[in-house]
Amino acid sequence: MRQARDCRDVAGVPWQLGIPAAIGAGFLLLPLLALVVRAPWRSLPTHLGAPIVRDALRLSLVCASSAAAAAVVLGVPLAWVLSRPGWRGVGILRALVTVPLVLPPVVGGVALLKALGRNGILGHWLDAALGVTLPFTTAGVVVAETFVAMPFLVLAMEGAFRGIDPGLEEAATTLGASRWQIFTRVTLPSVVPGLIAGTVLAWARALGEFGATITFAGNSPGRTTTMPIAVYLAMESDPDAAVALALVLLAVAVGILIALRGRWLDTP
Amino acid sequence: MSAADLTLSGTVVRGGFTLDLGVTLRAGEIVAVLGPNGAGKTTLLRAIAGLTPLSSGRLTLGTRVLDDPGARIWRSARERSVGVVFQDYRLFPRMSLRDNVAFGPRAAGRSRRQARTIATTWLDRMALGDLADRRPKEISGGQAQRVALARALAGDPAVLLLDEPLAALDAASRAAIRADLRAHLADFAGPVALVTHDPLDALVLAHRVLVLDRGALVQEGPPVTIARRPATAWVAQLFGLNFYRGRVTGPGGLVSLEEGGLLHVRLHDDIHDGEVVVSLRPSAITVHVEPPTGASPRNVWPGVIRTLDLYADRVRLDVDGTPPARVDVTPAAVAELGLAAGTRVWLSAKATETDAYR
Amino acid sequence: MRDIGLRGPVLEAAPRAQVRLGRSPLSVVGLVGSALVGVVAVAGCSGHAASPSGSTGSSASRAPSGASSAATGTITVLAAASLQESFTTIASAFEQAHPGSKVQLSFGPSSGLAAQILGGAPGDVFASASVKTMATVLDGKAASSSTPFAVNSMEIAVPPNNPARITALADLARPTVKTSVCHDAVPCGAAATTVFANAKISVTPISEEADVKAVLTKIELGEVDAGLVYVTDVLAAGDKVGGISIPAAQNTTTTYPIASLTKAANPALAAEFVTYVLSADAQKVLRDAGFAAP
Repeated sequence: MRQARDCRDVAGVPWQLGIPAAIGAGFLLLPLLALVVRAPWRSLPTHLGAPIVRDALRLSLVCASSAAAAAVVLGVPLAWVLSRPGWRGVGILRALVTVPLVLPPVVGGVALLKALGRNGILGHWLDAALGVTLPFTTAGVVVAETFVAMPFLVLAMEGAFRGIDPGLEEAATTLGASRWQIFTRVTLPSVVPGLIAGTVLAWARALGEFGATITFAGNSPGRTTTMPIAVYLAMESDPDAAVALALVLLAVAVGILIALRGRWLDTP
Repeated sequence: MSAADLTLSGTVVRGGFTLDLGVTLRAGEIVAVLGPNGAGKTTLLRAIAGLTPLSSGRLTLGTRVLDDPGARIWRSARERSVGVVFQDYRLFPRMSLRDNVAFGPRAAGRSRRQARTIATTWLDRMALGDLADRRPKEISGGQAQRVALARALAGDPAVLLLDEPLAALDAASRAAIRADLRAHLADFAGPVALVTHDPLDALVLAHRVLVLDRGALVQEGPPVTIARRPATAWVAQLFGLNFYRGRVTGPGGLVSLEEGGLLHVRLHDDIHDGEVVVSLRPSAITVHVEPPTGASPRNVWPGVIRTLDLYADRVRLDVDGTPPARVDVTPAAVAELGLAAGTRVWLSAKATETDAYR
Repeated sequence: MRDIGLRGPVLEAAPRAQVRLGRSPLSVVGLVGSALVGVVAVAGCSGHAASPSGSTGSSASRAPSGASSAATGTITVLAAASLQESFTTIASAFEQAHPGSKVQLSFGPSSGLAAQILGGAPGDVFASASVKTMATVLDGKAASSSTPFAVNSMEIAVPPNNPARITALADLARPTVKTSVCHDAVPCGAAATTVFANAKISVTPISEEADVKAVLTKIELGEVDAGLVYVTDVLAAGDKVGGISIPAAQNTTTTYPIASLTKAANPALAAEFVTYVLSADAQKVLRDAGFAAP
């Protein structure tokens, strides 16, 4: 596989692919480059030293990681169920669980308020019975981010589960393994690359989440003000500060993605 | 695990295909299952392993009922202790060989340490101890076959099933692995079913052969009987024999063949009339370029050579005649007689070499 | 941040504007007539002497022949989000009064619009919800002068059933009351801070929203007990929220300035639009929406 790819590289890239590829890469990279070039480098240390930046960054990392974890815990079983063939309604369910992908995030936030808000369908009960209210809390941020990010993981994992050789699961059955043992020892190890890709995708989406978060969890420094929200509000008062904050978010995200990317490539 | 017989009597419907069978595999017995593609060999293994349910009938292991749809009894694959060596081995790609072999004992509730000990023992027995920490993709096909066998046996199964265990190997390693397999199967106390399309597997490994065709059992017996007196054209071809269907038409063993021609045969089992099958070894036929003189062979008939194929030390002729025949001659004879495609020849065969049976 | 434009009220704006039109048809007709008077005055100094099909007399409230000197074409008006309802009404009345003219409206947070203007986005008129924001546009030489055209003040908005039984500003200081305000960085947030200071109360908001519509959403859905928004917002929200007025002594006002932009593609029509916004009939629309006179 790898050898074949190298051979093609030697043969060169046909211009029909090379030109659009170069334009595509430029299109994606130029705005990022502009952000870096036009950044207020001199005042950067002042902006970054502000406690609000530290708080927002910490909150962003904690919430995005929690959301990614929640997406894994709930999304992997969901993807597994969706990947099983032969039951009715699976197509409809698959379409519905990926709706958050196309839903404008702000609408997602309103929908979450109507479901889990103080007067929401389920939130009303949570409030009355358990005294739990999610809006305006850090947990609310995690809920909003999970809502938006989980479909990415579900899609990645469903594809991974479908790609598994059913023969391996049969072999495990004949060796006396229970369904749970098969899932944990045979199925799950086979989808590790998909799991990593899906988790990173979900994490990245959660890290950049703005619309659903600010709608559902509002903006409260140290509690629900994540980096994207801080960037947006800074844009109102001090665009230079906003760019500085955005750079921090960018640097952290790119750093983590590159670190994980190296890992993936080692995985066959 | 105490050894018990396995009895299957019933039908398995899979897709548009139906297998209808009544067989018993005795403890300690190695049974080869032969048959053309689509005969139902793999379906039979799947039914025994619990991967495909019976549609009717009953499957028992000793006194234990494994599947009886009429009585709504179903033991899943994991409850059956049936070890399976799959055709493509199906080793777990992300586990070491040791973990692959330890999988069964672990699933059965052994501790990690116990399971690893069992696995190491099995790998050592298969002479794979040095490779225990490798992944399946890092070993050869023959080694993978032995790991698959070790994995199936490490779970201490009551029944062992092998689906084309040597099919994925190259011819060179096949003979050695077959000898190995024979040694390991000899130690196994329960019934063994071995699906194969290689007649040599059946001859070398099996105590008994089942021949399936289109979902039904068409012949059953010791390998030597199957090889000498095949009941179907497919098995005859498998063992390289000429095979004819016909009817006894005269006293002293004269058979009129379905595809035309008459053969003087040796009648078995007190057969005096009715339909019979006739098998004739290719090496029992002699080729002549002139009509043979002298009275020794009872059967003499003309034909035209269609093709010649060289197999090691002999040449297989495909001769068009009444009846057609495959004939083995030495390469020297081909040169001496000037045989080629299109050459007119006379064939002769002794009646004593020409077996007729039912 | 691009999500902001997709908030619910955007969808509701058009029908509401129609209702307003239907409610006072007379005022619209009158407004159109008087607008034309203003236009005549401005048109004198306009280089655009385009002669529209005025002579055919197609418009019902057509002014005398002098209207033919009015500018035509299209202008883009960038206006603060809180002007959405009133400017939609005003723009359509303006178009009726100026045959051949077309007003394209773009609503957004004032600061965002200012950033767009300074970034070179095309526009002819800017109506801001904040003098400070307008100042950045003036400083950036994107406009030469601005005129105040409306004043807004703050009001307490509560869910219709008023669960926390809010009656006055002081109630917002109660620890059990969940209050939502705009973030300090946006004008409505700065105004809220001033109001709390004037009232000498200390309020810890549960959330500092990015804009006033977000505050309203949370109130409408009952997620918070109270919020500080503009008087005009309470009026526009109809019966989806209740309003509790703040005494003038504690209240603060926000002045809305308007300016035609130096890079306007159609400076004549832009100038006419600014003049029209200051006319009595446009001012009536603004008054109906809850704005005070500057």
